[in-house]
Amino acid sequence: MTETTSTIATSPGHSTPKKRPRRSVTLTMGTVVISGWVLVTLTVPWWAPFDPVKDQDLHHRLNGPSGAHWFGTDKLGRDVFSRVMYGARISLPLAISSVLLAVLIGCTIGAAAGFFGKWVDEALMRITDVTLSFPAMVLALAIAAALGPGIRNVVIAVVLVTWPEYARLMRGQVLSIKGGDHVKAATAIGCRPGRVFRRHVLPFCSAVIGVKATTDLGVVILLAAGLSFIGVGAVPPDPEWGALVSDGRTSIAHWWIATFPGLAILTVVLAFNFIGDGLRDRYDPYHRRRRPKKWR
Amino acid sequence: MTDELLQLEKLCVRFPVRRGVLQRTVGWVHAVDGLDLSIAAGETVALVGESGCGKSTTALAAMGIVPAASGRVLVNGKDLTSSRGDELRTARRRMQMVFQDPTSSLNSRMTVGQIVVEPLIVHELVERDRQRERVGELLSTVGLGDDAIERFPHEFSGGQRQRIAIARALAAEPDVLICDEAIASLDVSVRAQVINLLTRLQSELGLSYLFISHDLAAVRHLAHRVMVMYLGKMMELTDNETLYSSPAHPYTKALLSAVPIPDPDLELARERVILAGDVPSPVSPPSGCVFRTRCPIAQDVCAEAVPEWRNVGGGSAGHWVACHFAEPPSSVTLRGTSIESRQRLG
Repeated sequence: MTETTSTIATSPGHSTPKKRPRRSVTLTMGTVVISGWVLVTLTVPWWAPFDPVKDQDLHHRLNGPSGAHWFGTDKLGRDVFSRVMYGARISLPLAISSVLLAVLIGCTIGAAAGFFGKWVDEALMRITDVTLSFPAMVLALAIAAALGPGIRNVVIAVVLVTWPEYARLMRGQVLSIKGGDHVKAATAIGCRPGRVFRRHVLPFCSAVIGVKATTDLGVVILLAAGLSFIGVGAVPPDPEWGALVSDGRTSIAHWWIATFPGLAILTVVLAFNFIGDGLRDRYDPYHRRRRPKKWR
Repeated sequence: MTDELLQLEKLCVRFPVRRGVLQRTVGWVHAVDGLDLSIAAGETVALVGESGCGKSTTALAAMGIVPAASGRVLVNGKDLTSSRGDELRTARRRMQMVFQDPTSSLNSRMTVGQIVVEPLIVHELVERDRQRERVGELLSTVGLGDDAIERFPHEFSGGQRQRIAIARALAAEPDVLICDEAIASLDVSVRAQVINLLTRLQSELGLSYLFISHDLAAVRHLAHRVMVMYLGKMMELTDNETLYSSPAHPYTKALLSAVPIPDPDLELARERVILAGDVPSPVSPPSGCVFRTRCPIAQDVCAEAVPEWRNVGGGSAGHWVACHFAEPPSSVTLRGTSIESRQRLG
């Protein structure tokens, strides 16, 4: 579907020095969609047709999509379009901040375990194992319930549940790269351990972590939705996307209530995946040239 | 001698063998066992032996990348094994290493310029505004053009990549270059070019080499002295000429007889020493002489006593052998001329 033919066209062999910037269809598409959503979160109060919470119209409840209500109305007669657009203001920052925090914590712990080894590794990985041994949803539920409802507490719960996967992944990456010749060579030419890690280990981990992080943005949105559904996440009138999907899942006949927030989640997740994929291609020199025609 | 740049004294490296759930140490692999070697300024010492005999481990231990279990590594009289942190980094700048496979030893995400400039940055050798110029000089020293700076290692051929690796090592302004199988992954024509480059660098910069290889023809071409290793132990050490013309150790004889001769008549006529069996496990090496299990002339005494490391004379550098039966000028002569003819090819 999305092949990067541009890479072949702009590299006429060995004689010319390579130009670093490069176009990639997936990267452009992902960036456009995410930029669109970011624009929505910034400007929605100026153009949304209705208020997502206050504009209740009980005469027009559960109406299908129409000229007045593009995405229809929900069981309280609120405009689904406005709620989905406003929902981006909650769901996007929630997902991004949770994943960023989880990546930061998980990668720091995993990198420390892999790079220093020995007892540091043992100690950190046992903590990771303990956290991983709980089912994610159950643990998140327990944490969120203990902290009380609210978006900030959802972030904390989600981060505490997702960091161990990053720690595991990062540790494995660091271990496999640390044994490579180029790392020995870096030590031999006199790089301090910090530089060895930054310049010679970290760049080889970022692709895998980046791809997992972009995939996890979707998982996190769904996890937050689950918490909202049970009542420990977003507080009811807040138009969080997960909560919107939960609203609609009780009645299939009123399909528009769940479908449109679901599509919103889909576009965001897909766009983030495209960005992750595109970035990997761009920063991995092996992928840059003679890239085979792939199916996706 | 006092002008020795690199000295390895009774160097031992061992790795633990772990078993079971608790990963308890059940034994040790003696990768390098009591190695004594010194390299003078401008000298090339070759380290030869089969795979797994501890050649590469010796190199890594000399660089301080793999810790030594005992013994000392002295660079310009300074002990590396007792140094830590910045002291170690500064001390080993004078000793650099070229790895076997340049594809894996060069960071594939860095441009050639970034790779070669790194030693200049970490050791603060050249001011920032002169760095690019210096990288250009280094690249031209190894026979690469200035346009290589902005390209990535994967855009080069194997021989060119090895040149990049050599340029990086030279950037640190070393006195000793450790070449760990540096020519093994290159094809024959490129191999000759890299050997010539190394020879030229030695005469221009006065470099010393610790040249690790299993290519005996290349070793003969490059080395001044040769050390033969087997199972982490020293077998024989002497000057190049003596080793190839009159080897004293049965293992050396076997190695030399395995070098192919490009003349079919000579190849058929010569006497071959064929070793039976495999290299024994370094976890439980044989008692006495480690080579006795495969040695064609082994006697009872070989199982009982570890052969002394002794000088049987001959040549200015002496002729050191670890064998009970090594005699002073060896009566066995190999067809040195035939090996020479092969060396011209390689």
